[in-house]
Amino acid sequence: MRIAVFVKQVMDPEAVLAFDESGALVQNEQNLIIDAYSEYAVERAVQLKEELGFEVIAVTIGDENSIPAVRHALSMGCSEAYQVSDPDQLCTIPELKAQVLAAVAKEVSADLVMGGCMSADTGRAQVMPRVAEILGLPHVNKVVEMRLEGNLVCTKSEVNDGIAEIDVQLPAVICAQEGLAEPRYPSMWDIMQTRKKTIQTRSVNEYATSCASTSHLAVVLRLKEARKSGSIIEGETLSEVVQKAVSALRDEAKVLWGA
Amino acid sequence: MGCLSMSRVVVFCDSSETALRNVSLEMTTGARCLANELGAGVRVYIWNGTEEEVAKLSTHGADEIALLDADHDMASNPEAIAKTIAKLAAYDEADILLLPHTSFGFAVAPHVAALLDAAYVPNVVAIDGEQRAIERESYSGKIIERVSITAETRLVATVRPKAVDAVVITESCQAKMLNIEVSWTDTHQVVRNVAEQLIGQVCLTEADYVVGAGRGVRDAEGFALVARLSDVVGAALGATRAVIDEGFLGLSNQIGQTGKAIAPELYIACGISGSIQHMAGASASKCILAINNDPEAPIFKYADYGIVADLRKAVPLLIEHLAHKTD
Amino acid sequence: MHVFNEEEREILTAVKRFCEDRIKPAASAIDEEDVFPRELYTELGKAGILALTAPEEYGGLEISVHCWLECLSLISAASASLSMSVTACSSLMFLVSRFASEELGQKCLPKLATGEAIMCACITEPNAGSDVSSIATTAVLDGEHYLVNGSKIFITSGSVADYFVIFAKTRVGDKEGLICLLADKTMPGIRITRDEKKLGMRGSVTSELWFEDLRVPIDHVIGNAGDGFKVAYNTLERGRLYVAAMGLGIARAAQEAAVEYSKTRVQYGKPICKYQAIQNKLVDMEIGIDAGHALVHSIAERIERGEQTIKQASCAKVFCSELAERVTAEALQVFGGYGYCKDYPVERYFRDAKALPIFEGANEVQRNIIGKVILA
Repeated sequence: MRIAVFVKQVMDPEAVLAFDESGALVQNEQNLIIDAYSEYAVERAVQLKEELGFEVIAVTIGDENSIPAVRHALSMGCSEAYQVSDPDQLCTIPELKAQVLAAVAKEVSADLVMGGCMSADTGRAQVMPRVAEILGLPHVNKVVEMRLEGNLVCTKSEVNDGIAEIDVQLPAVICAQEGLAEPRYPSMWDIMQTRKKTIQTRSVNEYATSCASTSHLAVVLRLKEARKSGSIIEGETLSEVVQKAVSALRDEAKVLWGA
Repeated sequence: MGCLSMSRVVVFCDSSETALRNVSLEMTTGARCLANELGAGVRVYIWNGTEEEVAKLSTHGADEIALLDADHDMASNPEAIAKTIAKLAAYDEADILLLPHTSFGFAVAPHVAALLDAAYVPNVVAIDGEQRAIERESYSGKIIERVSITAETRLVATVRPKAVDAVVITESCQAKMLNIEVSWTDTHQVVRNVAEQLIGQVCLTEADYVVGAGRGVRDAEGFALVARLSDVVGAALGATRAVIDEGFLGLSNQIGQTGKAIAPELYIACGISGSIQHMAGASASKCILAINNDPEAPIFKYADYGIVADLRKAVPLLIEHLAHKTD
Repeated sequence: MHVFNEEEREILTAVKRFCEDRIKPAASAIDEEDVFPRELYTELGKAGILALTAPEEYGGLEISVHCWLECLSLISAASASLSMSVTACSSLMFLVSRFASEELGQKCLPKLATGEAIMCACITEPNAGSDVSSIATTAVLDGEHYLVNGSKIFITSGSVADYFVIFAKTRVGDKEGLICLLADKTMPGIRITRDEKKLGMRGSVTSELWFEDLRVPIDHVIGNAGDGFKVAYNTLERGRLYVAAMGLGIARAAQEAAVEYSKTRVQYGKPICKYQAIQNKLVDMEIGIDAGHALVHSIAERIERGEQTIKQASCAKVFCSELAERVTAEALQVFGGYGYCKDYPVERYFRDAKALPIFEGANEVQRNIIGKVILA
């Protein structure tokens, strides 16, 4: 059995963002880390490898900055890694990225395809379902639990106000939500071992066939205005502080007491 | 502006809502605003709507309303719903599809987009009908992406609850009722069970008041205190991941990037540090009152009012004051 | 200037993450409770962080001195108290791998590298601190054993240690010399008499020990009998560089906290960082930390080239420990009254930093060492 896990390298969510003159987000000098949702998928895949002896292939797309993401996945226990080189960032278009990833999943003969249900940066939350559709495979989104019973993938998936138990047959695509698995810290020994492994490289041009609909979307980015931070309420006693807070809610903010 | 000729903006309500939620009205008003500029009609699909609910959708801007059968076995199957919506949208020649940005929309909408080969824009926080644009949040709520609507691209979008104001556009209920027979298709997914998990009477995303519990509750006693505050205020109860992991609340009550995005009139954050991930789901709150014993907690950068104190001491006092607010 | 390679960057990223996720959230409680965080230390070992400097043949990873100094700074910035134990461990691993026999190395190094075991260095005595020649503890050859008697004070990790590296006076031929011995806690005759209550570095254990007829087998001598001075000086020299790195870490943590606070604290209508009196403090901190950084890495460079660093290590120890003292005091001042309260970590940085000019050889003694070299 072979599992392909897609991983994405993202800016640290704590990063302070800025734009360059062309209106693009400044990536240089930013601290890059593996996306949390990718990590949940990698962790569960590696657990399956350890439980059942599967092969786990980590795949990433991006410029050279994306390589540490697959290295991290290898350190966590993946068996192989692919980096699809995309120096011009063509695959920031989700449709295109899905095409490329679907092609790689085929190339590595994946029986199970895993990845994050979204990424913490762009949060477009669509690559995995698109990959499933391109490959003609069933998928389950927002998966918080999964196990295998023969050819059946038994999942628990988050729905609005609860949890749905959804089964699909292999081959399938699974979109990891927080909670699917607690990612391990690779040890320093793992990291050093990983240095000795080779990462297979491909070029995005080998796979991408056409630019799909999102490319026609005109998107302009801007920083969201930060909330104006208010004040710490001070007072002699906590009772006074709470009293002042309640007064502020009523008289300044005019909430809770009806409009 | 040149005339974009579009035929239809279509709204799909959440199949899991047992009664019409505000977000459905909000989407309908948003759709109306876009449709006016685009010269299109607004068609709304609702599950098991009552007459009263149909009337509301009508006054909020729907031209046509179709009822879908929420009791059908397939209505809890995300794959079946996605395939059905894609079929209906193709049949409707829908140019813009709006779904709520809830777990329902999160699972169904990208699948619909993939089936229709349409663009997908999740997490919409504003609809600007006049400028024919929609805006979404990304980078944990630090960036706004403004997406212009063009005639060439079919668009599927999910709209955050409370992002758009629900407005009564017309007093008369003139929407045309459509009779649509859904033919459900076979699915790969087999849904075995759906377990309700939400704790609390008020829906988090729709609530006017939300009380949130964070790591600072420490134990069951601390959590109970915060829960009592939410009762006294009549607020929905939410929590950070740490509290969910402790088992005090279910996943459905999680506020944040991973969980639900709230936008209440008042958010009382108790013992919440205010991580980026949490604030991605809470920063749209109109007013934030934060209680935390760490004066350095990032939550104070977002809060309108901050109380630096142990919530075990501050929350009982707050309860005492708020219990008499009707006096 | 040293440029970290990809491998080192990966290690530093992992260490940083461990510090952020595991150590930082625990730091305040470690200080408050003043109990050695054994579990966290074990976790640190499992993560392979203690193995970073150990030789490969003992399960270690042998990273560059540059990289290790950076790791120590990161750990110190998160919890200086925990970094005391880490520093002690790495200094002693250096000692054992360099001077002890293969058998002794195999006995303890793999366990030290994984954090399963803890080792302490027993040098200081009531009348012998930096003055190693005044050591009064004796080791008398008695057949196949050395019989050790005496007392030691200010022993880092003493009461939690599994292994003890003991420096004692002994007879070598007809002369008196210093011997270095490895004892383990199963050997009868080691008594822990007390743990000190300290101003800072709370949670790092500092113990008083007694050896009463402790019998250490002769094959547990580290180096040869009489090599004690050489072993001690070499190890202390490395230890001083590590203390310098700790100082940089604490200083960095204090400075970052002060910068952050000064941006949010508003007085007379503007954030206090806009006032030059405050800004200059922050700038001076930055200059000092940059200089200290350049200094310790120039020494790492010398070590990698196999050059002497006696004077340089002392210079770095003095400069960076006093820098940490100054920066934490200034950072506390930036915080004003809040800095004096326990709600903010800056008072902990201040108390922890005060240890650095004192231990691993008081700065006065370091200045003597430097003076001797430049006046020779």
